[in-house]
Amino acid sequence: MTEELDLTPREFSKDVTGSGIRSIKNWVISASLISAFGFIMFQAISSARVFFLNVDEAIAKQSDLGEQEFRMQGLVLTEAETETGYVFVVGFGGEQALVNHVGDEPTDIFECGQNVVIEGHWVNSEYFESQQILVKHSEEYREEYPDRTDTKSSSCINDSEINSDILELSGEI
Amino acid sequence: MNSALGFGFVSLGFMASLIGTFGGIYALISGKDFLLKTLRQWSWLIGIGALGAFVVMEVAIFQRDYSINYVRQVGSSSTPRLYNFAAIWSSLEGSLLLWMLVLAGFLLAVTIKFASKPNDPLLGWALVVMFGVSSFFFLILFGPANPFVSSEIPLGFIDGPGPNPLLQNHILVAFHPPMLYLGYVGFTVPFAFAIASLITGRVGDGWLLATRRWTVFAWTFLTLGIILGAWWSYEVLGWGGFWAWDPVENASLLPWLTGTAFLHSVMIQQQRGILRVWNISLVCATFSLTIFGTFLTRSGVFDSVHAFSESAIGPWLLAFFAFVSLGSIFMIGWRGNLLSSKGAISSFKSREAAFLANNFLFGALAFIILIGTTFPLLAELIDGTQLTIARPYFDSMGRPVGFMILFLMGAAPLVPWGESSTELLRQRLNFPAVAGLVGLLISVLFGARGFYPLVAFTLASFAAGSALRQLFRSVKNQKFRGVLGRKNGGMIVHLGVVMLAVGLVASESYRVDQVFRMKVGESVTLEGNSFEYVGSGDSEDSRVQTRFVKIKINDNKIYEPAITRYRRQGIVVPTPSVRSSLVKDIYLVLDESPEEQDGPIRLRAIVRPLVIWLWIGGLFMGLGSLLAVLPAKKKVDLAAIVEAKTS
Repeated sequence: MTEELDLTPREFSKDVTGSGIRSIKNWVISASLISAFGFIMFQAISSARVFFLNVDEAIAKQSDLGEQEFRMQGLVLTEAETETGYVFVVGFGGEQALVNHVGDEPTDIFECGQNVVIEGHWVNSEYFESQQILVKHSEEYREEYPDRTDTKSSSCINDSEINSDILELSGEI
Repeated sequence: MNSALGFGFVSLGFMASLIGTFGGIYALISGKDFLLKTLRQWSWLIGIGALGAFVVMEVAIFQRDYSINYVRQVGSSSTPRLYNFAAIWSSLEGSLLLWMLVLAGFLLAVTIKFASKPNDPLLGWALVVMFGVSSFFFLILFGPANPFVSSEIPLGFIDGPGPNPLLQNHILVAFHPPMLYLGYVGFTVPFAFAIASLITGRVGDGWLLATRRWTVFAWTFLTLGIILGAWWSYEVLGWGGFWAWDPVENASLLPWLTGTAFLHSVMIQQQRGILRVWNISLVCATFSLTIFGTFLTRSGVFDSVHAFSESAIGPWLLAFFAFVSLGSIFMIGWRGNLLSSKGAISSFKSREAAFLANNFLFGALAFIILIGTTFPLLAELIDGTQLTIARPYFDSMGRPVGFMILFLMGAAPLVPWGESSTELLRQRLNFPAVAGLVGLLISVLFGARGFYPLVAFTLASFAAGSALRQLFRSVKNQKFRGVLGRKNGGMIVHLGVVMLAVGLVASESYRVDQVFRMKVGESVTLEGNSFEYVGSGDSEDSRVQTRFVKIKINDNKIYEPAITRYRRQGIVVPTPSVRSSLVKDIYLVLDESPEEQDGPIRLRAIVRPLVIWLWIGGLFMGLGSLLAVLPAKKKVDLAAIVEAKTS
């Protein structure tokens, strides 16, 4: 037994676009919805933007940034564990910044000479308080973007190579 | 030898693609059928070129033929066989060889499948489009990303570094890229037929029917590729997550979203004869987005775990993306009069209206992700500002859309085509609504808290109820055939999505993460699980040095998170250890390894419920789409019926 084929021509439903007024109404509703959607997206993007700066750029824009959260990239020059967290110096483009890391402890692969991206904010335009440390794995990145990362050094630098202000401040933290 | 042979195969494929493209155009315009028949031969030559180049590169990698630059970059005598095989797609040029191999496979499959219609202009133009795409990728392999460039081996060079350590750390690396490519490249087939239908003016349902299974096939592999990528990220990267809204992850999701929208809206066209422009646009957008995804992955515009192959092919891919997108828009505009349809959606209480709403949501989600992904690029392009769009944007914008999609996933299958009465809807909604409430109750009883998770669990249960209702009815009527066919297979896909959604929400909302400093013999607890540090050990070979620790979970089996140093690259990678069960995952990462044997460690323990549901959900989605392409009803033997009636 086979099903009989339904050969009745399908009827298209009547057009619902309706009259001119109804059409305008539909356009107004659509435009309002799209505008609302666009506005919400704009707000969401504005609040989720996280700027990405190298150490020298972050220092140059210190006053503009205030306490705004951003990501800072540089090379770990010194590292020290303290009672309150982790204090280290990152450098890039001839500038150095002191970092007080208060987030989760960095992993074993965090070490001097390592290229890192740290997320946090400036405190009193003196030091950078970081919540998160991202360690880059790939070596190729460094080779391909010499302008974005300095050369990896094999160990921590000496105190004599650290800016005196930073050295003094690191003792206070 | 390998270099010359490999380049010879690339040249063969390139020439065959070019001749196929221009010869095909000439044959179709001039109406010379005998020339059209030769297209099949060019497909075979492209297949031989792509396969030959791929095999030669594999041989060169296994032979450590360091005269080839690419082998010097990814080859190593210390890489295990499996990763050595996968090394071919661990960097740019080799991954393009894989892309080309998959494309040639699809080209040949189309040629064979439609061999009985060599003179059909629709098929002819579809093949020409595929030859054109093939020409572009062979052109890249021929020039800017030639994998067979050779040079003298530098003095003192003994062995290569092997692939990126992250790409030789888990078996999934052997499956995730091929699956993804089968998905990405598979969308070339419906795109080619869509363009062919525009060129020939045959914009009816013919091309849709001809490519339906190809589209489902591509979608299935893209789905599996994305899920396997998330699984790889979870098992390898040591951060305890599986999706970071990384631009390259997003790039794979974009064609998936438009492809999913198409798979739904195509049914409206078939049932009601409307949305032709929309469907053809979705197919073109999906293919364009696969090229865009390749651009993001392979151009190095983003720094990500995937963008390991920065190169000069970015502008080529961007130009091709622009050509495909603008060309598609032009073609659709050109055929606008043929594409317009007279019908309309008659009622909001109809399946077509529900599918249309579903399409808006998939479109909106794709738009949200596209803007969030490309905004940093645009910002840098406009004023040089480097920024990133953080996770809260994607989460906050994606969540309500995801909820609405879950709701429609449950509601749409219950609504009939055309118009339906409120009474009928109420009757059909009974079971799914009860399932939703039961899901909510069970969630609360199992300790689920929070507004968003509970909404998600309720909607997921509602959608599951709807899918199960359909499957029960179908199996009752048709026995095992009740799980076959588009609708029933689709419901199994829906069940997979439900599992995935529940796993996603539960594992994200109720994740508990804690770091412990431990001495050997010490025990700590987290979420009712005990962790005992039993001891540590070392292992090493010519490739890696590994320091692992033994952690006994709940006085039972021992798990061994480790820190692995890759000798060649000098890179240190944490290797997590995961205990998975249907209820929860316990994820252990060694944050700080012991300095000496059995020395103190810093261990991160993460407990995440229902993670495994993500992977099972993915499996269901794959299985469901396989069942969806199988015929739901037995084929009617018309000849036998006629014979029986005559006799």
